[in-house]
Formats: sequence, C-alpha cells, structure tokens
Amino acid sequence: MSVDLPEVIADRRHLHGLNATMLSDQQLAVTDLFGLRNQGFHSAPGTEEAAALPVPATLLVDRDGTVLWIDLSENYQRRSDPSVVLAAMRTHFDP
Amino acid sequence: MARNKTGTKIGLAAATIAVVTAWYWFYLVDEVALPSDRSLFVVLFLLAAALGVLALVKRTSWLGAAPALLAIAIGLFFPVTMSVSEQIVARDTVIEVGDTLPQFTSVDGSGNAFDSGVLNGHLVLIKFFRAHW
Repeated sequence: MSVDLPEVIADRRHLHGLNATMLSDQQLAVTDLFGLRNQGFHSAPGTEEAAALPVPATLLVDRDGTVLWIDLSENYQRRSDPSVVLAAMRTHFDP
Repeated sequence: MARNKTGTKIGLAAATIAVVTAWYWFYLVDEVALPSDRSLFVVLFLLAAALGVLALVKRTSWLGAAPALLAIAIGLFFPVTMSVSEQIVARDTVIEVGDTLPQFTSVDGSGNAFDSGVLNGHLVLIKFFRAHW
C-alpha cells in the first residue's frame, strides 16, 4: 500500500521483482483507516502530488482478521530489517 | 598560485568525503542497515560542506570550485533530510496489536478494484510504504 498511482505501480513493480498485491492509496483513505498518516514533516519530492504520506509500517494479521504484530518506522530512513519481519512471521504465523 | 592549489586540493578532498559518505549511506539503505545513530554521518557531511566552503575561501580554480560546490550541496542536503525524517502517527487513532483489521477497498496496479474481504481466512502481511521513490 502506497500513494503511488496504479500506473506507477504497474510501471515500477518489475524493478523489484515483486509478486505481492500492490495497492494505490494516493488519497490516503486506507492509510487513515489504519491511522498511519504521518503527522510529521511532509518530506517528498516536489513531483509527488499526495497531500501526505503514510508512516512506513508492517502488519501481520491472522485468519480471523486480528492484528498480531505491527512495526512502525520511527524514521523513514530506517525500515524494518527483513530478518525482523521474517522472525515475527515465524513467531506469529508458524507457532 | 599557491593559494589556488591549496583551495583546489581542499575542494577535491571535500568532494571525496561527501561522495564516499553518500555512497556508503545509500549502500546501507539498500542493505536496510542504516544505523539509528547517524551522528557520524552528520559529522562527515558537515565536514565535507565546511571543507567546501574553506576551499572557496582559499580561492581555487574551477577544478577545485566545482567539487567544493558539490561537497557543500551534498554535505548540507543529507543532514537536512535527516532532520525532517522523523515519522509521527496520531497515537489515539493508529491501529494497534489486537485490533480487528479495518475493511477497506482500493485499486491495484492493473486498475482492478480490491476488497479487503478477500483476505478473510488468510494469514496476511500488509506493508505500508511511502512511494516508489
């Protein structure tokens, strides 16, 4: 989920070899449902049209729709280490 | 002439510090390994910018001025981005562990509608990120 427009997603996803479903949320409707709109400084390139950006976040959700684990980036320059996410998946998805 | 040569050397040194530090920064970003304490980066970037200014003060030919200006630009840009990179959520509305996943609709990269109802009964990883850049 990002503020990228669908055509940008279609154009860019192959660069990273991503197979997951990628969704567009430029109006931040879903971001706001999750309460993840960044309230801090809106640091984006001048070409970005979104009014704000989501806080980088990773969530694990079980089959009943209950949120099991959340990682929020306190700083956009630092993201979840993949090993941290994989460890959380092993803990919560494969106990 | 000697002053010009000194300024040129300082300008080249400033650019070298700035470019190498920036390269290492992007390397760590790519590795998802940027440390939480980035004060050493701040020191190196500001040192590069300061040396760039010093090179110009010492006077230099374009051979030294161009690297000096590059060092100043890089050396100031990164600390500025660091100073505005903190992420803040509204603590009273942010989703928390134990909450039920909100139902939502969206659109994917092919323009197809997406309904979160298709996630019911599945283990799901959802990742929010800012944008492709």
